[in-house]
Amino acid sequence: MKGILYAQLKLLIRNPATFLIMTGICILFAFFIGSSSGTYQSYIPIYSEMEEKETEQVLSHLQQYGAQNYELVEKEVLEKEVREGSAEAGLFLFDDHYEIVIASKTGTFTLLEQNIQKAYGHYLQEKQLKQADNVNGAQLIKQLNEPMFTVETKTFFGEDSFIYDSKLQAIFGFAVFFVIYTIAFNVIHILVAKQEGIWDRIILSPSRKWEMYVGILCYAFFLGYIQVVIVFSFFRYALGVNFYDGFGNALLVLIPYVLAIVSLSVLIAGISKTTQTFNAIIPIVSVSFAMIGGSYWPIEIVTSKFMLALSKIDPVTYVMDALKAVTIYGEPISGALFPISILVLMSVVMMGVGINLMERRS
Amino acid sequence: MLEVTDLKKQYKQTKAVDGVNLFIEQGEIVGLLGPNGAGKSTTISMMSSLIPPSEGDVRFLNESVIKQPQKLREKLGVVPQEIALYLNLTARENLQFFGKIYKMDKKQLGAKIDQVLEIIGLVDKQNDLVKTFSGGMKRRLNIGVALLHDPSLVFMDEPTVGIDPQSRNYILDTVKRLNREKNMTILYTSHYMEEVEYLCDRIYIMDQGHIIASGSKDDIKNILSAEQTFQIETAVVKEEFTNLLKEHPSVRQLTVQEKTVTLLVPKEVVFFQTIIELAEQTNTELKSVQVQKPSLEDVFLHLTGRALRD
Repeated sequence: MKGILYAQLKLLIRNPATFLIMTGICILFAFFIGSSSGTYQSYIPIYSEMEEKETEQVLSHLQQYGAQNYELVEKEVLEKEVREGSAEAGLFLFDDHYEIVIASKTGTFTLLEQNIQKAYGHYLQEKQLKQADNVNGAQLIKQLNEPMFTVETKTFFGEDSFIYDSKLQAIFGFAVFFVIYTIAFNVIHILVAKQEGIWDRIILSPSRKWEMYVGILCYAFFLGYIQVVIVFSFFRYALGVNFYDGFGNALLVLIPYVLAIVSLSVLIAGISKTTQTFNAIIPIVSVSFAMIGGSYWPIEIVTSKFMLALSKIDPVTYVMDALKAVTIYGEPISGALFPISILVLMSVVMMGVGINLMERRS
Repeated sequence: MLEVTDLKKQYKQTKAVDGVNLFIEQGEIVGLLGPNGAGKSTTISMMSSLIPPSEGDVRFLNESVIKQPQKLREKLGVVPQEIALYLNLTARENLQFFGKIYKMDKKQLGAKIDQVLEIIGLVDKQNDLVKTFSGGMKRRLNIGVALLHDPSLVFMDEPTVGIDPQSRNYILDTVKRLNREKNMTILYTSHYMEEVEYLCDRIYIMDQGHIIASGSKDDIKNILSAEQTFQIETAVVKEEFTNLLKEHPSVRQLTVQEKTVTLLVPKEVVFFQTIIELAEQTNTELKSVQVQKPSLEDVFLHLTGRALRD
């Protein structure tokens, strides 16, 4: 095993470009896409038939939830902007209900629907309380806004609501996406060694076969893990990105994911007869997994049942869930045990099948 | 030292090796000669415990290699046909890597690497990347890796394929030296007749998965001891001339290669005069007529009806 690690490290020192470029590209993508999404707030034109004071009440509730930029406009302007695509959605406010106008169903619609539901609910609740008891209404509203204690439920599996942090979405998404390449292009050393006859030489040595597998896979694991740690640390310490006090837990959550990707690469190596096949499969798998698993965009905005079903067999889905749980949703590690367990299970199954396939072929 | 009994390897419908029997004594250089696809590499892979045979056994120092491969592996060095090296590492780093794989002592390894580099003549190039090496240098390093752990038995699978004559001679001399100075036992496979003739004490000739002849060089050549070889060089090979030769009752075998006609004729027959007469009869211009001792090439031709490099 020492020999394998020695050779792999020497090869890395001799040609560190691939690792550095992959890490650099990951940071650049996360930086630019995260920053641009961070400052971008989708524009929502609002036309209101409510009283000015009441409109302001609803608007103030909406603005509390952030993420979208609201502006009061005339009815014709709203309709024109939605029709022409300059706004993804528009909102009509009435005394007893609201209406959303959209040209197509996008993530903006989902987010707007969630926010207006909460804002309008809040507004109606206040209104009813005022009407029910004119004397104590104001006090009741005050108590409602400042309760003695609050019971808050946060979820990262929920279908009803989600919290979106564009910076973390980009950092997590690109880190877990690019690390697939780094790991796969190190696991491929098994296939290269087999093709070039080095593996046979090792078999004939006193080293055991499991030592060879462990050597190469440990190396792939550590290199992949170091890459994600570098990316996360860069954003946390160099750019001061808020990890919601979950930075340490986020690094822990990455361990089962990196392991799952090592196993996935072993499985693909087991299926591939040659390095050429392996090199052809990896980009297809990594891009599809990233898309399906919510690496590029939050999985919460995906509405297709088929895509959601597919995401259940994708390790990216579970690592994104777990990362969001321990950061955005402020969960402890135990709160992310479900996705972590799935990742561990995936690692065991894929590793077992992959090594079996490779051994059968040889 | 090593004994192979009724070794067979079958891949679905194809019999790659079919009932090979051979033995190697301590300190010998044994040649395994045969054309491409004869089953030499498969035989070596089974003998080195790399692939299991379909049937048969390989015994090293009286212990079955199939059941207990470890004992052989400790004493065996294998030079594969392909260049099994890391091209992006230097020669020294490659040797260091394989030394670690062989779990060699760190202090011992440095000295051993120097020694091996000396043997293969790559001391000056030890810190160069292997990918910058010529074909011959890669082949030498490929051999060096197999010598690192001081094996007493070395299998060399066509170690001179595709290299220049100078490197080839260097490798052949190295093999001879290793055998002479270190009493290393070597199994050398090749389809180059002259290499095997130059190096080996005993030879096994293999074709289509079978051993078709075996013994010392002289034993094998004696297969043709009752015959003599005539090599006739002509200005133009006329069909009439070769037909007359073929029809002659004394001619056992006739082959034509470009302008050269080769004949096998019983030793007791005086055939020189006949050749001259038939040439005159058919107006064939003779450039030269040589009577040759049979070579291994002739033996192979005699046994299989095909040239070794067909």
